[in-house]
Amino acid sequence: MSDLVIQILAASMLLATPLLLAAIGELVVEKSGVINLGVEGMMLIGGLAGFIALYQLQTSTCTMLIGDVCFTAENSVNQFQYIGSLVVAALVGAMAAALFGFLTQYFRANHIAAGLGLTVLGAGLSNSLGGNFFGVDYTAAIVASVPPLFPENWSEVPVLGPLLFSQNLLVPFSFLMLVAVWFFLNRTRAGLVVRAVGENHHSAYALGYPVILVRMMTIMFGGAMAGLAGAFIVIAQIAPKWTEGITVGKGWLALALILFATWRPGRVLLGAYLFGIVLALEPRLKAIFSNMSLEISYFLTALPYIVPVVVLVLISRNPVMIRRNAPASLGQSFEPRS
Amino acid sequence: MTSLLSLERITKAYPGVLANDAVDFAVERGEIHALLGENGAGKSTLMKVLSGLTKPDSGQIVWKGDEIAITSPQASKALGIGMVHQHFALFDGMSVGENIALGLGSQLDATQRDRIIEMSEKYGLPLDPDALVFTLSAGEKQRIEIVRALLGEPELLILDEPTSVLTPQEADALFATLRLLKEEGRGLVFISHKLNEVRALCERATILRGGKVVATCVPAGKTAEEIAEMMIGTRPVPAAKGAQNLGETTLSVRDLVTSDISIPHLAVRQGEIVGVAGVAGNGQEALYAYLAGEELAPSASAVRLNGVDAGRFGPSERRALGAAFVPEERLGHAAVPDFSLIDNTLLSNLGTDGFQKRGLINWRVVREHAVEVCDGYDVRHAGVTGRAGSLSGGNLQKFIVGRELIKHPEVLIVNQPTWGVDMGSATNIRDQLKALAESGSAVLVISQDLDELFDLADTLCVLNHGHLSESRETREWTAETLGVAMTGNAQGQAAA
Repeated sequence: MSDLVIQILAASMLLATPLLLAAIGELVVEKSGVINLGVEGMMLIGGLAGFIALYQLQTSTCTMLIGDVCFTAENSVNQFQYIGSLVVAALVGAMAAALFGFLTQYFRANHIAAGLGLTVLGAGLSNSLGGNFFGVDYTAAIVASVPPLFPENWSEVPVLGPLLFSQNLLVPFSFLMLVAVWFFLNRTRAGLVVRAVGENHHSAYALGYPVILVRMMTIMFGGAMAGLAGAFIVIAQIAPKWTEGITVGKGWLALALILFATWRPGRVLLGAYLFGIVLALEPRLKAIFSNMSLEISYFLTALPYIVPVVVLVLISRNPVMIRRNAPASLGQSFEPRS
Repeated sequence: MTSLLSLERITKAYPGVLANDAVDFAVERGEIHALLGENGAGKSTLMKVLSGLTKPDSGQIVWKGDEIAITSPQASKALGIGMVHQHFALFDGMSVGENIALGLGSQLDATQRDRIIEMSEKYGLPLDPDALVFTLSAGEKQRIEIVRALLGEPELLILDEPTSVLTPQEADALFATLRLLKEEGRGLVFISHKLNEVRALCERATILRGGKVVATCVPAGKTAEEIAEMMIGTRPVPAAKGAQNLGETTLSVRDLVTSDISIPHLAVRQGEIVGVAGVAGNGQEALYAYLAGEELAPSASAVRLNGVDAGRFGPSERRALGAAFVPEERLGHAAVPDFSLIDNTLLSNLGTDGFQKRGLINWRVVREHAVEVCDGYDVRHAGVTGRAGSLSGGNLQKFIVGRELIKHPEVLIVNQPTWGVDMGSATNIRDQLKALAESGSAVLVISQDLDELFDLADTLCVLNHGHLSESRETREWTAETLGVAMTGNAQGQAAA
């Protein structure tokens, strides 16, 4: 039985990590008073960029050489190539976010419109570039899978093996970032300024803080994290693979999580893992109760989307805490008063 | 010895208005210097220049003998100028300590916490560093601003109308703090409307009118009337009110008692202006809400409009009975800031004839009506399609009042008709209200401005702790009896 628990936990990490990565990034963005609905788009662009980078960086060795022509190639990726492609994903995500930042911060475009535009742009651009980018059709491209972080026999270690040693690099990274973001927002001076800018941009400006600059930085951080989230979905699988719209709404779920978690990093984690666990539970429950009725089966499919919301709404009802954590200037364009 | 700060011939023009016209202003060390003037006299602009939020078009700023330029809020702070804003520049969702740390450009840690506590004890400004700002009273919020400014060790501290939100006890405590700061050799600028405070507290006063300095004087050597005359230009005419020719009672309230307000009796007759005096926060909002129908009275008979029991009617139904309303809050309550003047005209006029045809809005008629309001009530605007929020306070208020007056309502209820409005617009609005009453309408004015009430009202009553006193003719009141009624306890008031 405990094997099953560990299996479910391990599987839930795979499902929760992209959510967590995207939500942590967007949390910082929203804490600075900006709402970027383009998370989904940034994930798609970043994911594709990571995939392209990994394809380009991977090394091929010929297994069958006839004359000078290589007939079958064996692709392989080492840890550095993998990290390199993650960096590319983060950079491209940050660049997409910077576009949103320029529109909303310097041209004072409406956040909602610009964010939705970014999502549409991200979906469209990744579809067309994924189909043909400098002559390569990435929907058909074969990319070697990512090497494990730890020696393979470590994964046999009970509990820690499947939960830690056989997981992708980004899983521990997402936890690290969660703690870092919490520490940054609540314990550092710069984090205090970010929160101040999100709470009341006019007061922050009057006190001499560079509102626009702070927001540009958080927006780009959010974009980088969304890019990593996309890359996780695309390349951190057994067989990395690009398909159109591969993120299937995870970006939107991340946005919703922040709201229901009332901008508290710990609750974003809770929400993301509730989602992951319930989603991981679903096929196993269906396997155990193979003769369940169709209605219940559909309900189980919907459950991962219902449980986190209900739980977070129930625990996050304290109006004082909401007032304390909700950024009051959220979604408002800043224009210095003359 | 040179002055701590001296401003020489500061001039700043905004489109259409010369906010500061060659203003000279100097503050010495160890001095509390009052800056006086009506709204729009140029005080705020001068302070924005000092705090680095705006740059003057011309003129010099001399700080401790050196000519300098203040290019940003940071530069102002670095010089040693501290600012306590009238509208608190606080972060409501954050703690007191975080707010202070943000103002200082430092991290909130144990030392910081100790300094906050030390500072607040030293100057008699009790504060809990962990309290969340949105849970605090206005007086406590102001203490945060002051402690925040003081922790920056300012040599010059500017306080913009610091007592406007304070209770008398809080104000007294503040004055003790300010005197302590003065003893330490700091310079203080005290901006206020309250002349008695200025006379008690300040060594010197500089009086601005229409962007110019009209006088610099020792306030204790002048009477409040003399100072007021310098500020306003003409001596306020003592009121000799008490209307004739009053018609029937068209608005009456009887035994309206709820958790937040108690009104035993209130009646407004045709041709009469009834004033409701009172210190802010004594139930003005609730009184307005019950009269306008935003809150429903417990029984229908508690509020009678034009002979109809209207206590359970909402605003639209009351409008249909011939009533019109002007709430206190211009932006967000009386008008939608991001709507055009045309849209805003429609909002309180949905029932007006001709505005709707077969359920559709007749925009041409509404537009003409909006233009009519603007032309008829001297609203200076950049076109009726422009945002209401882009109008100045005075012009927007004239628009909002005009929008109601143009309907010639039989009953008009108006809350703080000239709050934060420039002198010219205020006079204009008051004249319009008087004209409406003369034409036979009943007018109820809720106001904190006693001069305004003495000028307007035929009959006055006082709202104190939610209790409305009996009304008496204005000439029976004096500033003293009114002051006592406004600050005494509510029961004693009812007996008097």
